Amino acid sequence: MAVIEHTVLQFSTSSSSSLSAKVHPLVIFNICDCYVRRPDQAERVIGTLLGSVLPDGTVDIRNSYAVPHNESADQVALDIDYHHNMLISQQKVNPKEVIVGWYSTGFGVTGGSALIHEFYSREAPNPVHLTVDTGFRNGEGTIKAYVSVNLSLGDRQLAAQFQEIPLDLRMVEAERVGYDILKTTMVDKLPTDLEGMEASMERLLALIDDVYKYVDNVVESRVEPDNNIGRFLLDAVASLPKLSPTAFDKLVNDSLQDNLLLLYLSSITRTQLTLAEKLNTAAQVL
Amino acid sequence: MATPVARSFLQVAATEEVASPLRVVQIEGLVILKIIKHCKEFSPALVTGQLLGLDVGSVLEVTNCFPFPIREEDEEIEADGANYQLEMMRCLREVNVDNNTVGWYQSTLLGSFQTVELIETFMNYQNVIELDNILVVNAIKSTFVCPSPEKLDSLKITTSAHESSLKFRKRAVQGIGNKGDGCVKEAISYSRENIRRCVCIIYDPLKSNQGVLALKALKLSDSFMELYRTNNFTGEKLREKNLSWVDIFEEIPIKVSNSALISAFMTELEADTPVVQCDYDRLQLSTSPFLERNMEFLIECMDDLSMEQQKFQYYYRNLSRQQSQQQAWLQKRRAENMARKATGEEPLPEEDPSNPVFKPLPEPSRLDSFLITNQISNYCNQINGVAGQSFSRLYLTKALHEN
Repeated sequence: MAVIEHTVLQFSTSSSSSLSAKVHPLVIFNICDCYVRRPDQAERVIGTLLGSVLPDGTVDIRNSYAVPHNESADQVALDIDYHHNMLISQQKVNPKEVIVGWYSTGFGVTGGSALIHEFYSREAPNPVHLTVDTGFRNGEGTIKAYVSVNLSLGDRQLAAQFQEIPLDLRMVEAERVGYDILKTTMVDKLPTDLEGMEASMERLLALIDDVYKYVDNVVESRVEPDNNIGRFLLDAVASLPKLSPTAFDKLVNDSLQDNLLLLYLSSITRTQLTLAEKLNTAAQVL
Repeated sequence: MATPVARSFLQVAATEEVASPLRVVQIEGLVILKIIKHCKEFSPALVTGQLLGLDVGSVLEVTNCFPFPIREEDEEIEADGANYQLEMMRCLREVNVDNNTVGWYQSTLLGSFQTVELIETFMNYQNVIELDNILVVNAIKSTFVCPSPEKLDSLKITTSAHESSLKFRKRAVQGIGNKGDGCVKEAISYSRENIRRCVCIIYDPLKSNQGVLALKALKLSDSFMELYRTNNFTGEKLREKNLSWVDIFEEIPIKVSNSALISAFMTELEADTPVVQCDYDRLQLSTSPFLERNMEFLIECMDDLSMEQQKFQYYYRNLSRQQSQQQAWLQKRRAENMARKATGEEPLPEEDPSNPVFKPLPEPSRLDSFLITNQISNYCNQINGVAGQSFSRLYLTKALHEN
């Protein structure tokens, strides 16, 4: 009996169901900057995304660069030479970052996207397509990531479908820099050590106040108690180690003394420096 | 017809000579993130990169940057690095990034950046930049004053002599070679865009783990640069210029700017969170590793400084010995002269340059000790800062515990 080959209309999925992408804030910043600096007539900017694929299949997008392109009604011409030159330069600095996909500004996927996506499929296996809505078309800056799924009939390829994948914004670096600096258009002065500390303390105080208020409200049954919040609070309180007062005093005092000693030492060094300078200049007057 | 135009160009070129002092370095958030990414990824290796931007009055705007690959001690690779730099700037120009060099950034370990190399890099940058300016302006002047082919040729030769920064000169020569009005205008706009100043931005990844944004913008002070050019760091010169170790580097306040688009995106993406990562970092109780390393560096520096001091002591000892020798010689000579006078002979001259006793001793350069002193005071400041922070943390813990 001959084997009947079934011709099936199918999506060739390559484990894209579990795929997700992580975007670092630098990429968003870079895209925005390129968009602001785009040529006069250009509607959008297109560029290459660099990064790596983590062992669990997550695409880690860490860097990007814009690629000049020409766009007419039904045609997109990408400057492929530029793309390759830039890639070589980027890899000189960090060979671990490879092409993981491409980005485009604008809302969602457009017709030309399939062509560009095909180009990038040749550069990287299963590229990610990131769209950043710099026009705020529906009132918010939508950032979405897609992978392409081929729709094929037997061996014949019919179309490509863009499937949205979950996107995780890795804001830890941005947090380290401080949102205060990144959110506003102009910051006159970088916060110093102590100012930063002050801000942190204020935030901590505000948080403690919030907790107090919440607990008071629950106790006086103004607010429905939430067991989850209760457990979190319990954990927080329990995370303070139980120490006998004498042991704790010793701990704190020792640290204080250490710090004081260091301060003393550094002050002495400074005095020494000033003294040495004075002596050196005095010694010259012979 | 060309004369009035030429005059106005010359005037433009002349007005460039006056520069207002640099007051603020304005950095884009993008640049900060890029620097942090580069420095963190390669930490603990120390990395550098180039800053691009514009010079507007007393503000130096840093609008973009790119990293340098880690350098290796090989000539071939070094040439490769120069190519990389030109290629990168060309590429970035194509996507409309400002491609004027305004300086460079580098990562550091606990602020141990005050080295002779840093000063040398500074001088290199400054020289390249100034040379560019002079050449472009000269090129323009010479074409209009005397547009002879020989001049153009000589210009080409001088320009090709300095390979390290081809870009501006090439443009100038091209502009003049074509003698098209547009090209000359372009050359002038280059010279105008061109930056006379450069800064170095220092980022400390280790210090940043303490929850502070450890960015610093530095430049060499003008008086120090002058002194460095003559390479004369004797005590006398320093006193004359009234230069002490504090005056080597000037720290310039940093401003951060973001485009409205980025600010909109950040506001959109990240609603106000009550707690952020740097709060955790700041409230971290264990600072001892950081302080310990600071102390280690401090001790090392103190050793270096005492070595330098010994050099000086040695010098002074030699100096005083020489002086006493000179005195002895002089007395001897005077006695001899008295004797000769008594016998009616001509007195001998009281100075004898050929005598080794009168050979001046070279004074050791003070540059090293100045730099070390700078370094030490930097460590002291850091220790003070961190210790101050841990005081507040300790009192906080105490208060929490008592409650």
